[in-house]
Amino acid sequence: MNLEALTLVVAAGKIRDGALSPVDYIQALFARVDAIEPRVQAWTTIDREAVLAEARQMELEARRKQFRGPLHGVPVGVKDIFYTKNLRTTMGTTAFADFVPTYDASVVKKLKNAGALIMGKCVTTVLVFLDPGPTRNPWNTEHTPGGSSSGSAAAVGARMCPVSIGSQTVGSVGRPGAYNGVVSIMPTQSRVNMAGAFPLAWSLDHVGIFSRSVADIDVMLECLSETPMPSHPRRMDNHKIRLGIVKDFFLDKADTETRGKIDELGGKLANSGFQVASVSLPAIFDLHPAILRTLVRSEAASTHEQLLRAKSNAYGPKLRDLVQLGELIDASTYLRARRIRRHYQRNMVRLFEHFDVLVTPGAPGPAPAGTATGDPVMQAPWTLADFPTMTLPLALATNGLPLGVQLTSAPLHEGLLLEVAKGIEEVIGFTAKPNL
Amino acid sequence: MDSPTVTTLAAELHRRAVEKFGTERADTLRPDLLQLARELDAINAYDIGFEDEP
Repeated sequence: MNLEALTLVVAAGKIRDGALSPVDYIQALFARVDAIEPRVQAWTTIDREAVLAEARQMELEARRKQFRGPLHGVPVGVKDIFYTKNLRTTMGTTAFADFVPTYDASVVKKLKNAGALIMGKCVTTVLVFLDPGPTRNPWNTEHTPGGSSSGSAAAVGARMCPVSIGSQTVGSVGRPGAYNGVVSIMPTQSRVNMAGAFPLAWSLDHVGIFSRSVADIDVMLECLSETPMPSHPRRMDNHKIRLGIVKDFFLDKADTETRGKIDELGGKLANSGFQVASVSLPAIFDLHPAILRTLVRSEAASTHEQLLRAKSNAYGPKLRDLVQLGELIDASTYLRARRIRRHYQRNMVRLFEHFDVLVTPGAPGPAPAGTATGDPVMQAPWTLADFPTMTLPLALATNGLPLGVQLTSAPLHEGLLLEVAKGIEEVIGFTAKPNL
Repeated sequence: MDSPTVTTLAAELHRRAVEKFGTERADTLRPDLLQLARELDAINAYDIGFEDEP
């Protein structure tokens, strides 16, 4: 059995059936880490002794048919901004190199209650912004994995763990999801609690999840959700699903190859029975970069103003610029941007009067070469709107790196989004994996 | 070519930057300050009523 390739759903099922030992599973993943981590560098901290001790305890419980929850014995990577009790949490900066939280973030608590084995902490960019960490793309280590959830996406893409937790303020889940050939979701902000995570911009920070199948995301979201997910018919009838392909802006920003793959997918989805049409965006859409950047700058300045002065050498140049620009924005302008955001959300949500799910590229193209983490342009409009958004691997580009497709639904409609994503995942049939 | 309101706003932002971070840093930030001025001008120009709460 190739344990590193197991999805969450398969691994959890085998553990429950007694066909897979949590200890054997984590040891196989540690062997995978030993083999490829020097090239990918997705992890900041793995406390192997503590993880193995916990796996042994879970194995004893599983033998007695005592299961903590749906994730019993499943290893999960956690972005290094979520507090983990007694486990170092660095936020990707030397300023917090020795910081060991005394409590778990809300998400970590929920993972543990569901039986997850916290495998370790995944690399984030410096303080969750654009200055890159050491992580490389498992499909080609000359390329970026994207960010800021760099390690979380790369660890899942590289088969070092089946699922992981990330976060998104602008494009930090969907973009690395697309670049690393994995499935990702950024749920509606109120769906999953960010408490106990280091912030970038409170009104925009969202928890995210990475996996290698939509079914895995479904299980994870059920475990992390603050409120019960509204049920949707399983295996929905494609003919009832209205898909809107957003060509304005999104396809204009994509490269030729990505545009071609999205057009091709539109054809395949129509042939599979989905109702597929083009979407026109409201006029206020053009204002989204100004609203978003005003909010991010102001809120980041509020978070970092004092820390930047106290520990300026811990900051990357991009975050330093962001914070200092934010310090120049007055309160009334910030509040005006928040009020306009409400207009934006009200106008954008009307798109769902005509469509169930909107389809856009997951990124403008494959992951760029070098260290810069790529362009979050495909995610920014949806993060500002606070609409739940998923990415699925779509195809390989001619350079061998993955391309992604992005799906978006109305707020708090994650159940519908997941069911539609399962249908689209089947149509795409992506099976490629990185050759590490 | 930027509008007079953008130019004025960029000058005001530069003045604030000099006050907070010194002339050298403010000058380094000048291209970002111009972009910030354009975005704040767009925010200011959008018509919004008193009933719209943040």
